[in-house]
Amino acid sequence: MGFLRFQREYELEADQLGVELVARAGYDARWYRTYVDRAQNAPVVPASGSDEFLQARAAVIEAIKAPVRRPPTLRR
Amino acid sequence: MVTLIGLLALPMLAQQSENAFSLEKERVLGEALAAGVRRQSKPLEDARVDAYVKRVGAQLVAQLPGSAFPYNFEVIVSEATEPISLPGGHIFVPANLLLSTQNEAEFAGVLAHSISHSALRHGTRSATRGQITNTASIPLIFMGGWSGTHASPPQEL
Repeated sequence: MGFLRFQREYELEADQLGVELVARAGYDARWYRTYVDRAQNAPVVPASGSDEFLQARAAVIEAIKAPVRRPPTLRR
Repeated sequence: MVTLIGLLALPMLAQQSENAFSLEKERVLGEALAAGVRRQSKPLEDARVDAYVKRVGAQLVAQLPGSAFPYNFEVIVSEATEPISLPGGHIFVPANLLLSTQNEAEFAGVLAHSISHSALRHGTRSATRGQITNTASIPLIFMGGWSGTHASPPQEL
């Protein structure tokens, strides 16, 4: 897939609106930034919070886990 | 701080004068681009995850002062760290995002950023400005990056 990133002006706009959306939705807006600081370096991080979030997370882990390969059968 | 940002941010939604695309044309473009993503990606196909992502997404979209598009959230098997935000309200969420965010507030933040790109019509505004020379070139994926200008230090949490 090709990728096209938005220019910085649009990123600033998206941040302005995005932080407002999370605050209005009742989330702690201080979490808006935290992901950016470490996302690229830590693809799987410890999680906490609502059961619903943790359940969705567990479902992803279950769904994308690599299929277990059977060990090769040894010929006698 | 949030209140002040709110006063500044919402009027941006009305400032769409620099967009040569009608909403209808943007919807058509978004559908075509979304079809391109679907052809080249694999859906996670887990009802629990789909329901969760749609619930958080809808909660955020509900905060928009009227949405021009019916927002659509699809979860794909991908190790990408950011959603793909297309014109017309199509948001493709990489399953990995649920593993790389710590809690719902952090996940919602990433999703809100992507929704904002669609709501502010950044794809078609870029095209209008000539920053995209060929909007028909599929697959053409719009990804949100981050500027992090409205951030509080993590240690305050």
